[in-house]
Amino acid sequence: MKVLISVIAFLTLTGCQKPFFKVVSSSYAKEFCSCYFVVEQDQNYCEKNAEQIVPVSKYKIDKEKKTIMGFGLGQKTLVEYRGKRLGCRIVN
Amino acid sequence: MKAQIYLLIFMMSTMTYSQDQVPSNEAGNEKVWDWTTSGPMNDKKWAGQESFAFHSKRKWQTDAVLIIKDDNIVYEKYAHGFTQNKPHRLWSISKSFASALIGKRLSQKGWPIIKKASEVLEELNKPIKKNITFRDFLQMSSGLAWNEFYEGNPFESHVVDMLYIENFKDMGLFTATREARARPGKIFNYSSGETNLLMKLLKQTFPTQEEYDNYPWDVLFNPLGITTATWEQDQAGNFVGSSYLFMTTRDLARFGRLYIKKGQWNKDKQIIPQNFVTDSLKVAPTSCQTYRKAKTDSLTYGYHWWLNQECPEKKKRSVPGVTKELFMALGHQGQVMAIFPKEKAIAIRLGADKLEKFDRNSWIKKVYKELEAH
Repeated sequence: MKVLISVIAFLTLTGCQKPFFKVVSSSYAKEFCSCYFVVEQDQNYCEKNAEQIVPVSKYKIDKEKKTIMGFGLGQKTLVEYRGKRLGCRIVN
Repeated sequence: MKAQIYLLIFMMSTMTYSQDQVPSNEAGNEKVWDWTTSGPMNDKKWAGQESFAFHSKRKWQTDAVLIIKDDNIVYEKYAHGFTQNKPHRLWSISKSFASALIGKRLSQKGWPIIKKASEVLEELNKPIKKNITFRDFLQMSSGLAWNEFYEGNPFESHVVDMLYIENFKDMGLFTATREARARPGKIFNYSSGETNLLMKLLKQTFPTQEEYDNYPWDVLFNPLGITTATWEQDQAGNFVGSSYLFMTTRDLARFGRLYIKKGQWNKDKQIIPQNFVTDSLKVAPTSCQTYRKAKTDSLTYGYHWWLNQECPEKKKRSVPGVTKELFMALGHQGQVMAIFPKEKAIAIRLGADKLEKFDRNSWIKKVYKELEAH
């Protein structure tokens, strides 16, 4: 918790702009997608693997559509799995 | 301060062999070359590197170690759910594959290594930038402004912006529009953007997206028998050559074998031109001039390969006590493929070290010592 507060303070003090906050949802959703659909590791492993020092508030797996949605710092990111060769890609 | 350090570490998320007639696996009707596994595997001779890589009390997570000598697997061990059949992320090891594709394509087009990139991509047709060559990009020496290592303000990190914030839409174009901070070929500055720009230049040479999408498989993966590759793209359909290649450890070693054999897979199959492979493993003069400033030990650099050769003005190897012929593909989170061409040996270590604590050089030294004892 102390670390989280420090990070948020750091982000604010350094004049962070809003788009930068997308880094949390984007990196989580993208790396979770690759871990889960490309590497085919289990969900628990991928949660740990994708998590960074600033955690996502939540994420959703759509196993049918093969997408991951990540939420964090007020931003969200959708990532799609495109198949064996081309793996995952951020949609928006 | 501690939190800042963690944040910086978090942001560094992209940093950075046998005889031809051995028995083969069957794939359809065509025989596919494969490694042999004869002789003692995981002999106690390899205990030194093993306890170093896998020891549970160390501060790193090793997922896979594979050591190959004379096309024979002599050591192989996996952990954390990985197996010989499970692909692993390679991070910046991807860059060496990107380089091979560029070498192949230049040769197919009949273009020299000093071909100007601005002749392929209009966005580079600007003052100073118009003189950047393919070789400059391969040597990370274009002079385009790029912040890979997040010193100073992390919000100015180009690599984080490229991968996760806004510029995942077209990573090559994002790089091409960076300002020219130096004349081409003068300063070494390790940049994931330059590799992704190379992948965009590569795309420019194909009439259709489909041909580009198939290219790595057509000219590299399929001829080498690599069956487990995934290579992710940005939104514009450019391969993310800097970071987003996945494959099994055994498949990765096939690429290492190709470079030991100077681009010639089997006797009649020259996959990558020999002169390109040879030149890829020569020291870029810029990497000698500026390595002291770069956060990359004192490793020298070729065409997207890390080298253990000394610089002319400073006779010091990055990995002391290990052959100067050692060359490496390296990636974030402690990924290593170390290649010892004279010994015909390949040593791969893959992991997930978020804090980047894995002591790569010490592991390589242990492997080399144990290799010499064989």
